[in-house]
Amino acid sequence: MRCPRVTSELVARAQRGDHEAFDALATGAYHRLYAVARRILRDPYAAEDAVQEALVRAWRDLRSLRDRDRFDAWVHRLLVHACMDQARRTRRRPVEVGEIEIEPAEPRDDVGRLADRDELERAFLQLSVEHRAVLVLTHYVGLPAPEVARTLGIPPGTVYSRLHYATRQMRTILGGSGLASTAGEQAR
Amino acid sequence: MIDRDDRMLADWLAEGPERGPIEGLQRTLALTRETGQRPRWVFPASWLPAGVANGVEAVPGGTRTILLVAALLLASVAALVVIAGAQRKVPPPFGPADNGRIAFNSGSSIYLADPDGSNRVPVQGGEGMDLTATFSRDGTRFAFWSFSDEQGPMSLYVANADGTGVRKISGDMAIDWTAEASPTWSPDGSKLAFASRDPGGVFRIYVVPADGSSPPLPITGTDADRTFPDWSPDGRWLAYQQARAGPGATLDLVVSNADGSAPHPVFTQAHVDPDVALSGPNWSPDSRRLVFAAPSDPSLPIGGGADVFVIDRDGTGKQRVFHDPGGHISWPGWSPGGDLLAFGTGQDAGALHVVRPDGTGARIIPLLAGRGSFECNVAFSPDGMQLVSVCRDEQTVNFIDLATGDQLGSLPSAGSFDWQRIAR
Repeated sequence: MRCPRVTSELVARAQRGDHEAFDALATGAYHRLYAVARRILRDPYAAEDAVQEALVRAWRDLRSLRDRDRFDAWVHRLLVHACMDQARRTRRRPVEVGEIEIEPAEPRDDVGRLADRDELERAFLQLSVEHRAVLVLTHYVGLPAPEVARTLGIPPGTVYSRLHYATRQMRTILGGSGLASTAGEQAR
Repeated sequence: MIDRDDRMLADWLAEGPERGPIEGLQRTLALTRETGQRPRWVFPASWLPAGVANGVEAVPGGTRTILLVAALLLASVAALVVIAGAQRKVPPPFGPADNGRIAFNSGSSIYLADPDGSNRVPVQGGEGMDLTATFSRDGTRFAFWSFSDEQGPMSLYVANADGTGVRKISGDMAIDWTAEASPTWSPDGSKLAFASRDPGGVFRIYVVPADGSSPPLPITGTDADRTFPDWSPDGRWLAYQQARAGPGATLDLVVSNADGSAPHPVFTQAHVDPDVALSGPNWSPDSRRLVFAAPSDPSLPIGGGADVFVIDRDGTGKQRVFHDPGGHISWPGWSPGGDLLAFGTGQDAGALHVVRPDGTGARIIPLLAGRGSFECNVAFSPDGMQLVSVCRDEQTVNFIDLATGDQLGSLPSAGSFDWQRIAR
């Protein structure tokens, strides 16, 4: 990740319309944003579209960003909104209801592990994008709850309640046996 | 328990790609180059002191400052309301949109109507016979062919979406092409591309500004016939058919830059029967792939089988998604979300087909199966919830519920139809 001071200077230049500065910012953030969007949406094309939408909006509205050191968090917020838009579009596709894309298997997976991943995938996809985003920012990006709250522009209490609700709902979907139980099976 | 759950989720989320596709980054950077930045003053926060904008209580600066800030806020809100009210929101150039008005032919005239056929108004203008209204992607205008003699040349016209402001944009050019093939709009609505036979007898692709400010100019050469252009939704490419005559004749699908430069064939087959053309091309909403139909074996006569293919724009990843042993496949189309394809098959007993771009989930819409001979082109409604089949022999437009296959209604039409996209 780039040093905050350099980022701040690039943001300042980009706010003055410097495309090369924005290219540097976007290039630095692109793969991180894609990895997050891919995990929220579980679809490579939708993830790519969401990142594109977030970065184009970032360029367009960059002059609204007052605290230049907050560029990374601000773009993540734009990304989560873009993911919500993508998910909304997907929901409107009538024939895709009930169809879930499964990640391609890796050679080392055994059958049991594949089934667990499939179950997790299905359970995760039944969560709202807002809940998925909180889980991904917390458990994948590794942000503490207050930072997730700042990134998403929601109160910290909402982050905690979303984390609690999302975990509980996943447990319910996984048959009441809980995530930990699935993890235990995975270890066997 | 909770810790184990968290660990398990973290491990699972850690799986998967860490890097996005480089071409996606390149596309994004190119898009930002085409996008303007909003000036700072349009953001309400820029009118407030930093403390207020950041959600921190502002340091009191006296009643005058507070009144000034309040007045500025009120003025900016009022200005935004006026601006928003004056500008009609338009949909993005690709992806799902809401269903607007429809344009269709009845007799030799184009009519605009609500989707249920009500509030029907004829389009006044043109040269007597008007055909094939094609809405711009933002739904604000439509283009159509017009001619006075069925055997004579055509002109290209553009009108506002409500049918007003009809104007000829092709100048003095005598367009020699089939009136059933629509011109294709650039996604920003500034240009149109179409095919026409030049004075030397070669079919070429022409591009013309949508306001008619300059005459159509050819962007392809005279060494082969080029027809059926389709402008990619991102505006960067044109795809079209190319037919080379003589020994070793080929029928190609070509992708070029939007200005006609850097053409490269993405599909080629022997051109045995000069009457045979491909069905397509048609761009996916994300501008990455093309769908088209081609004879399974070009050495066989028409009716010897045909296939629907999806192919990446660079010519890789060709995948057959459907095979019709009868060999009659109409122009395939993408759903607005890019998740489905639709096309018609059959000559003596036709049917509509819907299939995913990877060839799975194929289903037949039974409504039209078993009917008499016809050729149906199929398209999706802008919201992706309906199929629209335009059956030339039956002279009808049929509206079909995609989820149930039920026919929702039909309109009499002389084989041309388009649906306006409007903002959600």
